[in-house]
Amino acid sequence: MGGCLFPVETIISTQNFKLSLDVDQCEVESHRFCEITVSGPGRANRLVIITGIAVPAADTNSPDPLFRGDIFVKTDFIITPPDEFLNIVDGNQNLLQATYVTLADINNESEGSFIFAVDEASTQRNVDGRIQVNIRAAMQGDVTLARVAYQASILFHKAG
Amino acid sequence: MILLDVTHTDSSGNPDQVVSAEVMDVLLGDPQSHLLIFTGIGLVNFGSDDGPNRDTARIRLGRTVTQLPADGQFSATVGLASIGNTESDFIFATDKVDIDLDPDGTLVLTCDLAVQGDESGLNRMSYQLNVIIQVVPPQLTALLVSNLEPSGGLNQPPGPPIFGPSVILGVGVPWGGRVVLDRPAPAPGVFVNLSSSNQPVAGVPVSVPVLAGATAGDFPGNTTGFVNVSTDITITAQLGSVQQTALVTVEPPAR
Repeated sequence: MGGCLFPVETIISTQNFKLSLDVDQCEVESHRFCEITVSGPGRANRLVIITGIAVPAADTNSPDPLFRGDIFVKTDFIITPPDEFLNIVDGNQNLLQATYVTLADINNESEGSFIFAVDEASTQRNVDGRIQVNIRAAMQGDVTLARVAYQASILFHKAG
Repeated sequence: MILLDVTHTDSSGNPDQVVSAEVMDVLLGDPQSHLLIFTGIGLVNFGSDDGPNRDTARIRLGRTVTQLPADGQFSATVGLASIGNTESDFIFATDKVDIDLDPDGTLVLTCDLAVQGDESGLNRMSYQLNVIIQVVPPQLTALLVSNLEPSGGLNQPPGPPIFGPSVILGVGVPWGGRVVLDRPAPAPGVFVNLSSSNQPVAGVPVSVPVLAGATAGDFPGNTTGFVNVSTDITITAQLGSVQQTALVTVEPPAR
């Protein structure tokens, strides 16, 4: 992501915040994927491991409430027909995925108690075909959840 | 620069720079293609007493590759694994992950770090690197034979046996051979096929293993059989389409 000016600060003021970060908009650092040919399970013939460091720069700017919300990371990996991701292993009705996230950059800006959390993680295919990592996160205190690292491993069937 | 090496150990033999370091080597459909998955926790022990402190960690992963994997051939992630702070305001960051090659070909994971705050320490960072590499199969470069007698002369300590392209042996004596590769054998190792033009007189095993990471493998020859006249025997080693030969000459007993 050379030359990117990453978000400096996004003020979080609602307790069910939603942040959408786009790899193509300089909102993710060190985004990469590697695509590997596999022979199963089922009709899966590709394993893709997508990694990166999302930059939510989510600043609570308020010490009291617990802010919990969603961070959506739109990657540049796309699955479009004739490639398939449904009904390729035992009739799967969702993207076959295993997603890992972790805190990568956290700031506490004043004395006092704090919480940083990544509570849930999953990966989906958007209607436009882009693969998106979903992170459920939480913060409390005068803090900034600056960056969150992710790894999404997905299976699909590549045509041809 | 914070330099870490997965192979570094303390005086007790325990890793003291990277713990829980593992590498999984997955063979892909193409027998020359491998997926390497590296995981571990680097003991960066990167601290700050107040102001911002930035540095880059370089973790040598203990595997050599012939060239740096291109985009699309690797992905990596890092994260905070252990942090400490005795005051409340702080920054802990792992950022901008990439890979590099050291001059000796060792694969290196790089990661920017930042710490700010009184008595703040980023003690450990976790990582996972996924790399697709093409393993160039080793080539068989030589087949050598030896009478297995210690080398060295008068007034010199005995040395290892000398291996060469040919050897002259008597009847009923042991001998051995050595296959040599142009590069270390990939995991799990390779087998080099062997044959003799006269198996009853100078027999060889069907094959000799070269262990993963080694560039040579030794094999024992059968004790030489009886001959009436000097007999030349060709020993052949084959790896893939490449053959190498060595000459064993067995001399009859003196009359």
